[in-house]
Amino acid sequence: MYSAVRGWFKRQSLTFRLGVSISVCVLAGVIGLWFYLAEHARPIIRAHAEELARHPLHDVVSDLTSTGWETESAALTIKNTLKELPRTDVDMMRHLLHSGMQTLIHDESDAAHAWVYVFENEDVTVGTMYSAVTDEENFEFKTKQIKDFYKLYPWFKAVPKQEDAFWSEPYIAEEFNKETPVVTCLIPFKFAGSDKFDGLVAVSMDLEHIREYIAKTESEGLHPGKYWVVSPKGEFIVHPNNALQGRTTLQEVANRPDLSPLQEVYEDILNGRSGYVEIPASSVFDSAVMVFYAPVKDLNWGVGLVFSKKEFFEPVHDLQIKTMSSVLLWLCILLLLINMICRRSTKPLLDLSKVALQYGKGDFSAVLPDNSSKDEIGVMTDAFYKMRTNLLNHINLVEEAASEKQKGESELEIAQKIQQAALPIDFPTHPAFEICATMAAAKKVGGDFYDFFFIDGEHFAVVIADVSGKGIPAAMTMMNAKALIRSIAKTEHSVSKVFYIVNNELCKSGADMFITAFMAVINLKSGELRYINAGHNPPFVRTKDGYKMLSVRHNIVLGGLPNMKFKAEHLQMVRGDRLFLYTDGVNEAQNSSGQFYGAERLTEVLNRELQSPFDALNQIKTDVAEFTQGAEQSDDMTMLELLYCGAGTDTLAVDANVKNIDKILHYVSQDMLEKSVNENTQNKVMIAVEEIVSNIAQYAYRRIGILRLKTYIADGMYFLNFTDNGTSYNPQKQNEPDLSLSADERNIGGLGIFLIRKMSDSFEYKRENGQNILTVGIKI
Amino acid sequence: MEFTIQRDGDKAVCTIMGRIDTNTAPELLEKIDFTDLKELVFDLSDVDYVFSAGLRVFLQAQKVMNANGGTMKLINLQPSVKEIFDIVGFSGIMDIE
Repeated sequence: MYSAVRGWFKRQSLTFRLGVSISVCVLAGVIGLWFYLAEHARPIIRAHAEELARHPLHDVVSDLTSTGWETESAALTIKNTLKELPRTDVDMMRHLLHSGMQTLIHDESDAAHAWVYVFENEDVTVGTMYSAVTDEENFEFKTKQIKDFYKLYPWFKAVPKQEDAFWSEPYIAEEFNKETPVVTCLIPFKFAGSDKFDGLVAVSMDLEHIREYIAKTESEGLHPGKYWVVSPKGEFIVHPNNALQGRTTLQEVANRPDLSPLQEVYEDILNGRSGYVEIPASSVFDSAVMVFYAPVKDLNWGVGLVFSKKEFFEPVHDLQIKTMSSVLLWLCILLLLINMICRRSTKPLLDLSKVALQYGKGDFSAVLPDNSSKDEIGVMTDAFYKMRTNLLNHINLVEEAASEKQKGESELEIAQKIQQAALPIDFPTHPAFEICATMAAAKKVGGDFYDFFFIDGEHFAVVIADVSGKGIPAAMTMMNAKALIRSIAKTEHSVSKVFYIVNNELCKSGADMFITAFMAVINLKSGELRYINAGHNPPFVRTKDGYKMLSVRHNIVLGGLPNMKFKAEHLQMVRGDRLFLYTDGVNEAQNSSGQFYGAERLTEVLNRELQSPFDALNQIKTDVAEFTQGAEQSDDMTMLELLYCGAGTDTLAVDANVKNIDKILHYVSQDMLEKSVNENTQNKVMIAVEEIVSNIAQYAYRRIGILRLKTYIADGMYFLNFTDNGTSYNPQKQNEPDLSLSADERNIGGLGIFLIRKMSDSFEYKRENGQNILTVGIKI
Repeated sequence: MEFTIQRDGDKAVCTIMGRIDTNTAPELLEKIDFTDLKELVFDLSDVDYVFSAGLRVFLQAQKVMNANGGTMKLINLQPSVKEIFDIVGFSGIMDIE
């Protein structure tokens, strides 16, 4: 999976990959930042927000404290005056209360009313209450006899019998016609000289005023909060919900499961601690809230401030959202920038690749994009330019070399064609001789050639030569030498004279090439062979004792030095003798381990089996190939064999080919006419000739060879003497067909020889000197 | 050698002129359509010589006709030609007039 994604990613464009990589990095950074903000900045911001929340709370607490203190101090003032007096009268009390309450109103205190209760006697439940209610304009004073004080205010019983101020729980002061709750500061007092508490001074605070005041309070930096104030017993003095004021306690509210975190709040307030709690969203609060609380120490009250948590953390969220959105915006801009930069930096690469493609197609006209900058693309463009120049140079060099090579090859081809075309391949059919020659050119042409031609009716010349050098010059020299020898030999019968003239002519031509050559001229009638050797390999001569290398006189090569004397030699050939000429390409043929074929092996192969010149040459070729085993032929291999058949009369020599049957039959019928052979004999002779010729052509030769037919009359018979150099084949060994068989059982072959034997009166076969000799006689 | 072949239904007459030798004989067999051939006649009135190659052709034709369930006949043979057929024993296995 990973590797698949990795592979896919690697196939995308550079722009895409760069964009994705950078985006991933930036996103990772943003997420990191987010977490950083959440983990570190959040508490800091939160602390700040808490601070902001505590501020209004503190204001409220201090206001309440000062209000309480003012109320208490009003009560104290009255108490301290009463302490200086003996039991006072009504006027004095009215004066005291008026002046004390004036102070409160002047101080814009929340005091609503005040009274002084003087115990009648030991029984504190009976006494006189001097009360005053005031606002800014009116002052109302009342005196009232109260018989059962504690029945009226049962909680009075809780007032300690001491001089410290005591704050009552909120209550509705019905006797003052008040409908809103009040709290009262109570202080016991003693008249001067008294040793027991003589009464109570009470100053009340109207809680409605406090509530109004708190409602006006706005917290700095935060939305106006919702305050509550509780009495020491936990009763709500102020609550956003008016109905709850003076009727419910904080503990009761905290008992609701949704608001359980408030349980510890009361405890904290009782113990004079401030703090805050979080209350999750519930049926009471739509969303989570935070409650900050603090005690009002002098009054033993508690003040709470309720914030929506969402509102509270709004600055934190604001900061996070603003940070994130600005980062994302920047990311978008960054991606656009990356895209632009990538496109800008990869465009030259694309341009370059287009050009490279065209270069690849061989179109070097494509112009490289202009980039002279020193950056990496500039360096690459520069390298491309250099590559183009080098490639062009290289291509030019290769093309030059190729055309040179082609030239060289075509030159070799031309030379080879010249060489091959110059060689005669029509081997003459002649009763007195048989000839075959072959040249296998080496890959890199040499300058071998062979030639044969009639000088006149009696003289036949054979030439073999090897021109030093290669290629067209060698081929031209070879042509020249060949033509020279031919033309000079026609007029000059002495072979030494021929070579003398040819040598001088070649020297004059200035070809600067020499030729090793061997030339022989045979007198077909006498069998005399005159030969001359100009630096060439000594040939082989075959007599009845087999092939032997002829020891020849070595004259200088042709074309070496002018005016050199050449000396010829001669030998007598008899019927069946052969002359085998070859060039050093044969005996110096090399195998892969560098060994030479050698004259010894050549001698051995020549003597292996006597065959027609064609087969003899083939046999040597095959043997040389066997020896070299595929090693490259280094020099031309040229061979020529001349078989002397002796001078004869009444002899026909033709290619042993069925195509020549007509020719032979015609010859024989003419001969029989001349010799006045009767018709019956003629028929038989014709049949015999046809059968024998087709037999020789099909079996003895299989390839073109010479068939000789000599006819003569002797012993009252017309004789046909057939000689051929084909494979040994004895017709006398042929089985006779079974004439008693039916047509379906008869074999279609074997009739020819049978016919001959039936037609003829004399039938003789012998194998001699590699020749099949068949003599057939038919009675005249 | 020259020859003509006249086909008439399941019958064919082949008239040959000249020498039947090694070169020309095989052509005869190629030209004769043996399909549904029931009667084959060779007219040899103008044949001077028949060589073994020619004899082979006649033998082969005879074999094919035998296989076809048909008959083969050689007519108008010159004496010298007849002699050849006699020598190789074809007179006994072929219908020669």
